[in-house]
Amino acid sequence: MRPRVSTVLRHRIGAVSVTFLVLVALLAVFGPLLAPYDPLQQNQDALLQGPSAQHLLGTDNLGRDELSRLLAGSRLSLLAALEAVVVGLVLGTVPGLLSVYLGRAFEWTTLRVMDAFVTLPFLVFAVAMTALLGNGLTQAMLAVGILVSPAFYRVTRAAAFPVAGSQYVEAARLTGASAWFVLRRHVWPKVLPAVAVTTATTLGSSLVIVSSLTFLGIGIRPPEPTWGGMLATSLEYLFPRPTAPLAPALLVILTVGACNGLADTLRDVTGVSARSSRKEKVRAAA
Amino acid sequence: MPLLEVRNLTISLDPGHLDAPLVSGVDLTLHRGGTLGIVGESGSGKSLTCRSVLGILPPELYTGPETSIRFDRVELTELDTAGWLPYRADRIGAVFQDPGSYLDPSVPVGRQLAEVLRVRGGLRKREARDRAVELFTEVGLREPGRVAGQYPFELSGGMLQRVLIAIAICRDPDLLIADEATTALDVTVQAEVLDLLADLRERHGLALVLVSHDLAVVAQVCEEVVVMRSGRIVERGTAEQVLRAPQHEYTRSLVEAHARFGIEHVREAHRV
Amino acid sequence: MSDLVEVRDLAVSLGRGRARREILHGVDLTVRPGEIVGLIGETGSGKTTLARSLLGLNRIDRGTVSVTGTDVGGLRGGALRAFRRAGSVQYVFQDPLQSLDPDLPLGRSVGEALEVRGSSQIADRVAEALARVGLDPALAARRPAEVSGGQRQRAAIARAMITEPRLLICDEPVSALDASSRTAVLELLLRLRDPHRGTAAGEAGRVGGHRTGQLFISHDLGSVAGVTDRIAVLYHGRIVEAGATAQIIGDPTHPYTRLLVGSAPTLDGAGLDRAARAVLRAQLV
Repeated sequence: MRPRVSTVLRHRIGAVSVTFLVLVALLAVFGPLLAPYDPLQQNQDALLQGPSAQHLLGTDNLGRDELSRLLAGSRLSLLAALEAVVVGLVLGTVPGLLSVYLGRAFEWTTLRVMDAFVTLPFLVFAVAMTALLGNGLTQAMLAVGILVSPAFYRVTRAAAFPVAGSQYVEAARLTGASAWFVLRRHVWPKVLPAVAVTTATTLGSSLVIVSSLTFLGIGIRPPEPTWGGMLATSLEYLFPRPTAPLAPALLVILTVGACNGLADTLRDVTGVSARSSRKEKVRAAA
Repeated sequence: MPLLEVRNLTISLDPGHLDAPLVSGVDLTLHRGGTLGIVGESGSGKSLTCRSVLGILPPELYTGPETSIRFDRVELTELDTAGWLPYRADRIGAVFQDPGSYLDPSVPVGRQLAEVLRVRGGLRKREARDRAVELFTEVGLREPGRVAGQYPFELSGGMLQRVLIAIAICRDPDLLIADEATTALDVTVQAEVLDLLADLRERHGLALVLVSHDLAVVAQVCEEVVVMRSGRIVERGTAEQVLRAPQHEYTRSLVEAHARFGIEHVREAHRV
Repeated sequence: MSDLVEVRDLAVSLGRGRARREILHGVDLTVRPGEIVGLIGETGSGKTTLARSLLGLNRIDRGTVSVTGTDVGGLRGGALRAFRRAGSVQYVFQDPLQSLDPDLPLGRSVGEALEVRGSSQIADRVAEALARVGLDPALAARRPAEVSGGQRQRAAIARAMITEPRLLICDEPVSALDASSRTAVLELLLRLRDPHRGTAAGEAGRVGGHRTGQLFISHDLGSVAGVTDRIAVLYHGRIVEAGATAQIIGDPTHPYTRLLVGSAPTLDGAGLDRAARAVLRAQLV
């Protein structure tokens, strides 16, 4: 069953998650416009200030306005997470679909490659990629995208495999349908819900990874604000400003939570039609 | 005194029985050593009827307050799970349509039977193993010693069903329920398994409930036949009566289908 | 007029490497226009393999498979797709729950062959195909799980008939159905071999109708004998007996055929007794 926006919104967790994600997305798009200050503007007269009327969330160690940096940072953080997801989606779903069709050699090769990706440790691989391609968020997230692609590969294969071997696909082929027709008509609609769920889950985990990478200083060019980077800086100056890490940390946690909430709802909504309810089964058995 | 007496069996999805029942008002009587055939299609309630006698209805189904299932003078509906177990395990045997799914795929079939003999029959390991081979011989498995060491996937559907029958009769039950037990088998194998059931009945004085969608299968083995449709018994009588003079429209359509599309039709035409 | 199906000395092997086994060992089979031929055999006899060979789904080791005058055994890739697209051979599977996409409305499945060809007026022709198999065209909007088993199989037959095939292959088409829908589907199949008239396509100038031949595959001789004109009995990859239905049923010669006929449950109880069956079985081993 295709996930529909209306059915997702009927679930409370789904509705809350979607609303929150839309807000965060709006923040990412328009945030920098709303920012009261230039997020890069240093102010030596106002270092490490607590919240005040001028600086609602205070200032950091270089006197930059925390609120403005948070708003600007949301765009970078989300874009980075999205980049990882899109890379993972393309690198996972396409070979996942093809592995069901293109015969054993391709299947064997992609399975081994995906297994290899799974064994790679995230941070080490991301560090290696940035060392190789240059230190930047794009390069780091490319690495993350590669590493999340096995999840897409697996769910795509798992959903496509039984469909590709099903009688209705054989029936379609017996009418002379091309592989492309079968893929569009029969396979993709069955794969889509699984991919949608994985996309939501991966978006959440990518956000955590972006934040932890930038927290560690990987993939970030110093003046640019990201949630992870801000968290790192604020933790360094915990003593003068103990509440400072709260805002970026909360944003990360809530956004990730909303992604997972959306993923759960999608799973419920799309899973219900796949598994008939127990009562229906009993009726069928009787 | 009948061996099995089912009175007013009603099964519903709803404990208050306000819902349309899946089975309603079914009465069955079976004497020691007797045979009863139940004919019906999927959804007729024939399988649920069998399951309620075995006490293995799905947990979300309820039997009605008026329902009585008496087996050898004991009211089964009043028993709790533990009380029902000796009946289900020792005195009523059952085989179903898909024998493979009732066996553990990773254990040789002889050991699965021996396990039942040890747990329920208290036999020693050695005795159980020997008895298992004996039982396999009895159900007509060729080379029973070799079959006992084989895994379910190595056996054909007909052999698996024989293994299941061996397990079902290993405690020397009074009643054997065969629910579509020959449906998935090839026609020639089906005939052999039906022979086996008739043999066992004769040899052990076993009462037999044979459930099938095919009137001809049931009529071949059973003296008494009931026809079920939509949870109710629509016709009952001796096999002879039901075949020769079907009363209900549904039974008539079953007989007619055989006459029009079955071998009988061709034989008639050939003879003329 | 040439025969619809001409299979000569067909041998087919399946499996890979060491598991490769010859399933069919030199099979001959003929189906003529308008004729219903029963292909009877037990599990593993090779009947489905034979049917799949007619559709070009198996590589053949030896022999020829000619269907509606086309050498199917030699078709590959694009030529095979073009042959299928022409729709002169169609297949009806045993279980419509598996052969119809559960997420698609019946109408989409029924019209699939037309969509693949890029035909026009698909909706009209789907409605017509549904009406022809005795279904309310309004059912086109329902999904397979929302109709009865008999209606589902009718829809599957409508999907096959929409291309007006010259040969319809039915693989155990009533085995998954209840007694009441079984009769109706068998009657439908009998009716389908009559020339198809009065359709949009017919009025568009097709000269007369052709008579659809059917290959009816079943493990159960007893339940289909009344439908078939001729019967071929397949046993361990060989046709052991073939002939007119009345002759096969009334006077079978091969021990397996005799066993098969004698084992079929009948209402008149005229089957062979146990001893006679044991003798026949002994002859087979």
